[in-house]
Amino acid sequence: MRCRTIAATALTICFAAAASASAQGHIIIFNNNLPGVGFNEVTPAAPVGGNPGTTLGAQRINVFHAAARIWEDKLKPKHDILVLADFRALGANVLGSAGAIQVFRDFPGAELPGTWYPVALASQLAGEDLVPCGTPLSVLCFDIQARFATTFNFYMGLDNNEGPGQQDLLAVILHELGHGLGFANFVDETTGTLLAGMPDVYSQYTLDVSTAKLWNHMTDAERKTSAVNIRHVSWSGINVTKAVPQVLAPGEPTLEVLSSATPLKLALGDASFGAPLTAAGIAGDVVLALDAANAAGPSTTDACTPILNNVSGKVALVDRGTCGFVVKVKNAQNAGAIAVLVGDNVFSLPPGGLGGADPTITITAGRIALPDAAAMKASLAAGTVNVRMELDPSVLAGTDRVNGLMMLAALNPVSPGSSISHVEAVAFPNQLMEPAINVDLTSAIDTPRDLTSKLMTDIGWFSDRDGVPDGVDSCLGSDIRPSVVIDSCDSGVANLVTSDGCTLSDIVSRCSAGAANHGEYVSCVARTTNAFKGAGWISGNGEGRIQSCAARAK
Amino acid sequence: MGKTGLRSAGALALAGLFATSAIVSAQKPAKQKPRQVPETGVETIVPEPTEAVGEALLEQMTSRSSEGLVEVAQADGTVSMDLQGRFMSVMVATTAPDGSQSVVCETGPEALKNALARRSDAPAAAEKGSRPMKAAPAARELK
Repeated sequence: MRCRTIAATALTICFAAAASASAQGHIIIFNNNLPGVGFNEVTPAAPVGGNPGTTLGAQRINVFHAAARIWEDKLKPKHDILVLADFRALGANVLGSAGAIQVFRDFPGAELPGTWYPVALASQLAGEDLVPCGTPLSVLCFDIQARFATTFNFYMGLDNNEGPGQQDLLAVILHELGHGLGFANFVDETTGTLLAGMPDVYSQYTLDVSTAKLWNHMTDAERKTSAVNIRHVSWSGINVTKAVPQVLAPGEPTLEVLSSATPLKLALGDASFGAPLTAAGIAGDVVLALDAANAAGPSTTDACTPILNNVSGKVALVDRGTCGFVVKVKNAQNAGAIAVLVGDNVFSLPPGGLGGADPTITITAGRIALPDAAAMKASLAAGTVNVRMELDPSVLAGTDRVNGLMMLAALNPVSPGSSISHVEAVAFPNQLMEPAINVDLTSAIDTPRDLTSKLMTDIGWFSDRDGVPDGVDSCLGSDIRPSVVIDSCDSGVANLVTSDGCTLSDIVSRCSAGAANHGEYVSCVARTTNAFKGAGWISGNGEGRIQSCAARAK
Repeated sequence: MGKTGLRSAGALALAGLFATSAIVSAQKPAKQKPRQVPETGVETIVPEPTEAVGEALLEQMTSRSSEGLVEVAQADGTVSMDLQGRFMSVMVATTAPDGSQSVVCETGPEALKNALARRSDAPAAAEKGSRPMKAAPAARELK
């Protein structure tokens, strides 16, 4: 039981639970609403999507509880994580907020010195609750604060089966709790300044692939510049990086300019209507589509009315503005265009997608950024422009083109969802921690569907305390006994930790996995320990003692 | 006791969640049982809000400023900082001309300002719709 309404007997029940608590903690949703409000709202509700609640309040509790359980099952916190939660009236269009209540640095168990950690993660690493509740009860004994609006039409089911016009509350809460648990930096991205001048654990793995600098190693000015370095800010943690190929699919929406003297690939926003982009792509010469300047569209290039020039068999270039995307594309399709490029009318990088629906549209459409559209028009004035709109199969959607790392959301200028504390929106399949809550999200937070859990691994939720931060640790769960031990045989040889986070015991133990029989195993250990000696990690005597233990192993 | 004993306490009220933190102590608080409020049987933490959270408060939630935040050092070298409600992520809904809504997570004051300024404008969620999805895509800009 992790969430209850007020009851005089509640504490008695809780204390009993506390007495039998196991070593693992829980993520506890703390109902911070008064009777009749929020979690306690008694408005009748029909059970939906696996949520058995029969009041709105009960359903809210159930969804919060489900989200907490998902995170709890994955992170296995050693201590209770308290989420101070309520539903209330919030500002117009504001659905909710969440984040860490405190940050800690230089606590026992911290993987990185002088580095801020959100309190829940800090307690996990410290091996103790850093913010125990005392008397008087303080908000500072909570780890995460979460507030959600009472006025929004959330889908309350637990099956991610929201209908049109609804937002899946479970996905929203999973996302927001993710921020509170560590998927967030503490940087002012408009100035590049660090929190109280100290780095944070998230920024330790935030890499600008243009400069090959981590955010924690940058000056404020460098961070400010990096924050808007579109599609060049990535997550460098080893666990996310290893998992990227399992999760992200090949194919980034791309506009390849084939007529360019040098290879040129531009960012392309895809459309929710028409023929989808494919790896093979659709190629053709670009023509600036012209229509009448009239009340429906004041420009001759807005395609808001029927196209007047010949775009048959061509890729029509039109300007964004005045009328809907589907209107423009349909007009171009009616004029025989094989595809449409919509040039943005505002500076926004990378280009967003094209929304709308029209089942009669059968051609492909996409959006290009304002500077790219301007450059294309200039090129058209000088000659032929030939392009291919495609899913570039050479890139996993959501990875950078420099190092192949998972990209973070750097947008220019600052715009909705702009934050390095999110995954870049081009990722596919859609990721939980993208800026937007997409309808195809599931409740998955781990591979093979999602990379969020692996990022939590990088920042230290599963630290093996080997002294090497988990984001650069090749051997999570290291054997950190002081000496190399094989079965029950203690060699007495110091169990050193290598710079990549593997202990000598970890390396020796690999032999047992790859050996077909005892002889192969002993040979493998001999080769391995010989390499140790060659590296100066052990003496000849130590080599012999490890090999002796290996020979006796079963 | 630690946190476990609090897991099912109900509506709490504690002086001012967003009040300036007065807790600047070099000592870790002792683990002890929360004091019960006689009327309800539980201790209360935060007063129930009686009015909608204003935009000023939303700005505070998304503030990324360190100004006024206090570092608290303990004898073992641990340093903590109460963020005083800053550095929150805020979910903002936008409504498209066709009535569809999208939800975007904001994490800074500038982003929030832009989103709120866009209240009755088109949505901005750049969602991908060109590959198979289990349902209709969320709204994105329509024009």
